[in-house]
Amino acid sequence: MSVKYGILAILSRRPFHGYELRQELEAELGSNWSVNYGQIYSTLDRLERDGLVIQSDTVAVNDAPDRKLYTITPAGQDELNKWFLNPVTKIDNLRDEFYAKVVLSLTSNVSTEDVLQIQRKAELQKLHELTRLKEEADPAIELPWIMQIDLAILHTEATMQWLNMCEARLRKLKDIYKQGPSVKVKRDGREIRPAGDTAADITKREEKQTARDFRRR
Amino acid sequence: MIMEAIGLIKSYGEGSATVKALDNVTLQIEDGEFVAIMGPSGSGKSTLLHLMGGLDSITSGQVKVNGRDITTLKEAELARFRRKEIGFIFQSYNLVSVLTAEENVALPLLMDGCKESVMRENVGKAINLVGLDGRSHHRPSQLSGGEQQRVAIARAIVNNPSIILADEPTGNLDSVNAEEIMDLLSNLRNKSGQAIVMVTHDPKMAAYADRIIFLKDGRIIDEERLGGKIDQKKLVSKLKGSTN
Amino acid sequence: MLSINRLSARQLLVRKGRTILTGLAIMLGVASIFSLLIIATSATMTLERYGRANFGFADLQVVPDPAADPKQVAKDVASLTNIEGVAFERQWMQRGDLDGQRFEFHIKGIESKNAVASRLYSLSSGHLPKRDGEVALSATFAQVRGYQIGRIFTLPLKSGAKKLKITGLINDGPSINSVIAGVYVDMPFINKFGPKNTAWNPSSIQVVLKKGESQRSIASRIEKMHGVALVITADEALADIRRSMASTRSMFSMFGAVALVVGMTLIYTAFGITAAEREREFGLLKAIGANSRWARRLVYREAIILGLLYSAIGLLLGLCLSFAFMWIMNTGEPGNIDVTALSITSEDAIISFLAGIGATLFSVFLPARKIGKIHPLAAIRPQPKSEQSISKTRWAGLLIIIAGITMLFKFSIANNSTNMAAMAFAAVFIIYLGVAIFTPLIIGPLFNLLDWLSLKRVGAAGKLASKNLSAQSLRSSRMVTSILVGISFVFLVAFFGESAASIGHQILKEQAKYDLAITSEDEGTLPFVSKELLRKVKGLKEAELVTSIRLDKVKVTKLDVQGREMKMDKGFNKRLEQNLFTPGINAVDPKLYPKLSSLFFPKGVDGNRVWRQLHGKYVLANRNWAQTLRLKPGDRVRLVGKGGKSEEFEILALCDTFLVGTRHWEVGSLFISQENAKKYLNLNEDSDMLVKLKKGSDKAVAIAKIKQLIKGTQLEVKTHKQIADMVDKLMAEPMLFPSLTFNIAVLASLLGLINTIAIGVLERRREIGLIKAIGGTRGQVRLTIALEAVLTSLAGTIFGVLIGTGIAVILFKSISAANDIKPTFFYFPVIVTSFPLMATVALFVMVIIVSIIGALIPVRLANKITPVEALRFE
Repeated sequence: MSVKYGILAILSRRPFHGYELRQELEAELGSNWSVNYGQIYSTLDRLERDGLVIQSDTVAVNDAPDRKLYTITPAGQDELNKWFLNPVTKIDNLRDEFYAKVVLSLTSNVSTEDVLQIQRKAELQKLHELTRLKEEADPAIELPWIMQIDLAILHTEATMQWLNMCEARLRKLKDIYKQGPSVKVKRDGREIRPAGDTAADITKREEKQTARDFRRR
Repeated sequence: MIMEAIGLIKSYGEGSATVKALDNVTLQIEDGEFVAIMGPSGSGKSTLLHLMGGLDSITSGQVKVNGRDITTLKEAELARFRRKEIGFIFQSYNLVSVLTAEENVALPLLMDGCKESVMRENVGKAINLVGLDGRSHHRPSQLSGGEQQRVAIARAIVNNPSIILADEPTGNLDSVNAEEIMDLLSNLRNKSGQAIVMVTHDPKMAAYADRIIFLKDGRIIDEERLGGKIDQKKLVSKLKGSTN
Repeated sequence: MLSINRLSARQLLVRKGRTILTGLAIMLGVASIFSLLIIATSATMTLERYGRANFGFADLQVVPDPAADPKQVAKDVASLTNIEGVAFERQWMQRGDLDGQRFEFHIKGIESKNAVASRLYSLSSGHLPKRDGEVALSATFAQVRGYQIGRIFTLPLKSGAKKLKITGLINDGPSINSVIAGVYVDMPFINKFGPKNTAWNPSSIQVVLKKGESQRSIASRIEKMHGVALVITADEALADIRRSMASTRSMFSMFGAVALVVGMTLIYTAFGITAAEREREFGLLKAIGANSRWARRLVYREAIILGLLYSAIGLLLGLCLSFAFMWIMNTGEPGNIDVTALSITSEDAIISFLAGIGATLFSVFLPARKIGKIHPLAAIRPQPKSEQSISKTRWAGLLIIIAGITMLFKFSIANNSTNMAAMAFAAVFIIYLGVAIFTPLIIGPLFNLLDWLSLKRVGAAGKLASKNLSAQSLRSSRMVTSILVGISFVFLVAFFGESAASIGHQILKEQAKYDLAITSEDEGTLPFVSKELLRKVKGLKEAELVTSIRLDKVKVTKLDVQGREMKMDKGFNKRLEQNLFTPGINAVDPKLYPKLSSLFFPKGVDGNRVWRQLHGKYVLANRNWAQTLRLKPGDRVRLVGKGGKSEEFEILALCDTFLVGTRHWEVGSLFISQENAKKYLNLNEDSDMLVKLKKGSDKAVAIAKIKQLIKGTQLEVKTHKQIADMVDKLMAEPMLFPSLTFNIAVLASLLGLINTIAIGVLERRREIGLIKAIGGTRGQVRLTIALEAVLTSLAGTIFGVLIGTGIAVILFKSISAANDIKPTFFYFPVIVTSFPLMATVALFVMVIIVSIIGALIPVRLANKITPVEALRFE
């Protein structure tokens, strides 16, 4: 599922060639996300079929799909936005998909804070329900059940704590960059040229870097 | 509607050094509602609670409790208001260390000038409600954290207030005790129908509420009614079969 | 169940250390007042009994005109129908030695055959002397000396010792002075051996009225009779005594009140510190719905409980103190007040008790207000202990000080000694109040300066100490202020004591220019200095100047003086009226006398001119005497001398005499030239001599020579030093009370010092725990705290001494100013200020030692606690 949306997210910035997409995905989301070309192409096909992307011929060399240039359609953009602005509910996908969402949103024009808040509310609802379940359970006879609920609650809590931390870090960055383009930041040992970059650009770039660092750990 | 805050502004300092802790906050609390107020530190949630409880002065705006505007009350009337209409629960319990549990609970009644027999009866009831029978002759230093918070809760409800205001009530407790306290608060609300407004940063505690208000930088940025959205069946099956 | 009482009591019980220390202050104050009141009451009771017994059991005492025949007057009085009986009495005082001890014999001649006489004297055993050779003695005197009925008593008269058989012992009241001996003989004895001048040997007629008669109305009738000078009723005599005792008593209470004021500053400090600490607790109470009034009620309730408890303990302590004092008095030099009788009245106890409670409540007033204002949020967010600035309104204290000083200068407008004393005390109290308010404004910057100065070579502890003092300047200055008040009071008393002790010497130095005085302690009319003797002394080669004085008594008759009748100051003692109208007179050589001894004239009077004019028909009058009779320079009086010879004289000037020759100062009330004394009053005979020796001459030799010359007479030769010693003895008695006050004040101040410092240390237990938690050693903690304590109390002592000196100087200056207008303050003609150097040094040493002890004991206790415990919020 997330491969689909990963591709859409990347294409929402600008059109990419087929072979470029794998590179970009890996660069964005890390080696955990290594997808083979086959998966990418089959996903692209489906996306094209569903009308979410279109390809444009450039140099049709040997009719190879990797050379084709893909562009996102308005429908595709819609679908992407919906994905962003809806909480992830599948429990087992939670960590991976939600992580992808947060990271991707950093370099999209969707407000990461909104994404966080939406998920947060969903988590709260879940917590509420879990709590209710626990209250209804009879500790005398349903102890393992209660213990499982406890674990689920703690997971949810962990997620919510992470949500808070992300938010806090984002805030800190904003504060730093409010000071203006004279602030230098290092990446991979090299300094970014501050001149010519707007603060927003720097913010975006550094948010990306932060995500990468986080992913690396 | 049992409590209403209208356009609350609380600022400190003057001129260029003004800090706005609360910026135009408006909310309503319904009868018997359990509301949680969440937000990062510095968001103003404690300040909001203090203003609602008449503990601090309001820079501008109004707080109405049971239709009465408390911003116009004089100091003595405000104190009476705090005694009779509000039950305040603190994170650090704030019990008087030299008094026993039941004497602590009796404090608001003492301030009201209650007769001793009335005092005894109400204190007994409150202690019973929080499940501290048998421990009521102990001093706070002889009670566990959870028990101390129960005393604080008993004190808060002894005067049968309309609203209970709780500021991080489980902040100093371990998870087991915290759960007990939250269960107690829920039960109290269910039994006696008091509204509860609770400030917390802990989502597990917020989950007990009916409604969550999100505060950030002194403003309300969001609100969520809890319950009813999650597909319970699916949740249960997922839990039962999950390989987490 | 819970009640405010229970809540308050619990709070007090938990904070044991603080409760005890605060209570200590109350206890000391109440103990001081109570013990002083007990002593005052006991003393006044004793003096009252003495006075009463002295007056005797008569209803009236009639003082006949010295010129009249007392027997005739007695007959006339007895003829009145309302009279039950009349007896008359002659009294005479003669000093003499018994077994090496000097006594004052008050010899009373009684009409023993008179039926009423036996009712007038209370016999404890035996009977009145009926015939020649018999004597009855005062019971207390007899007891001290071990005299019994049947034994022989030798009365050491100057005219020769007389052996008398003791026939009875008379209860004439407690002895207030073990030097006084009452001797009762029958009338012929007095007529034979007593002085011939009736002024020295006055008679009085004791009158016993029929039951139910009014004393005053009969007295008025008798006063109109011929030959009667004065009638005193028993009631009036008692009232007189009571009145003078009352003023003494109020003076005692005032001293006690000052002790209580010192205690009050301590209580205020203690409660103030506690208030800051309990912010969180009171914030909580407010948060759960207490209003300011309720919070204040709680504080007051605590204060009342504290006050009740410690006032009660204070009463017990005061009781012990008074017992201790009396015991010391008894085992000390036997003499003075009969100390076996301690009179402990419930009235005194109630007053002291209420004073203690009142003081507590009063001192708690401001801290309670502050507590009432605590914000509910203090429970949640304890206010950071930011520097509370010293409020600018403290400058008002300066105004209060000025007001007090002004009042001090004006206190002389009160019209009698008691009111003057009251006003003076009130003014001093106001000054202290202003000082207490104002001083922190100065102390704050002072400690900042100290901090700045200590930047250099001072150890870590020193730097920390000075930082603490300057950072918490409000607290430090409060402590300094409370120390200051106590110390300055102690110093004030010491100052007065020192000045009073040296006053005799100082005045003597100024006044007495002679080297030797040849005199006798006796009163009487025997001529002591013959012309021959005078010539011989003048002829000594060591003698540079010699002059003689005639000391005698004259009668002053009531005259319409310039249309005004001579009246007395209201409230004046009627018994003294007798003496007023028979003042002593000194006939001196106007040329020589000023060179050997001087008188103090009021401002603006040229002494030289006065002496030059004295050979006119003038007299100089003692200021006290003249002012009591409302006489001024220019008024005229008629003096009656020996043999009834009388003449009118104009008062040339008023003067102060401290000692004339060597006699008691009351005796010398008038000064006249010897010429005039001889011409108009028939006073021819000299009684004393003053000698100034040539420079370089041998004093011992001169004394020996003079001794030779006066052998066989009743004269003695006295040196300056001997006179000074006698003055010291005289001064010692009135100084007894201030020295007692001094001791109590020192004790109270030192204990208060420990108290204040200990509270300060207790309050900072958390800080101490913190220091240790971050690695400070116990030694460093001790050193820091000790340094702070010493610096604080030194500051308090230095300021206390300065302020005490300031108040003392102002007080003295105002007394001097008052002296020129009104009756002299306690009869001191000139005020001498003398800095009590030794006492001050001792005070500093004591303060330093005590403050170190006071700081280190709580620190020791604090050190025993682990840092963790100390940091845990109480």
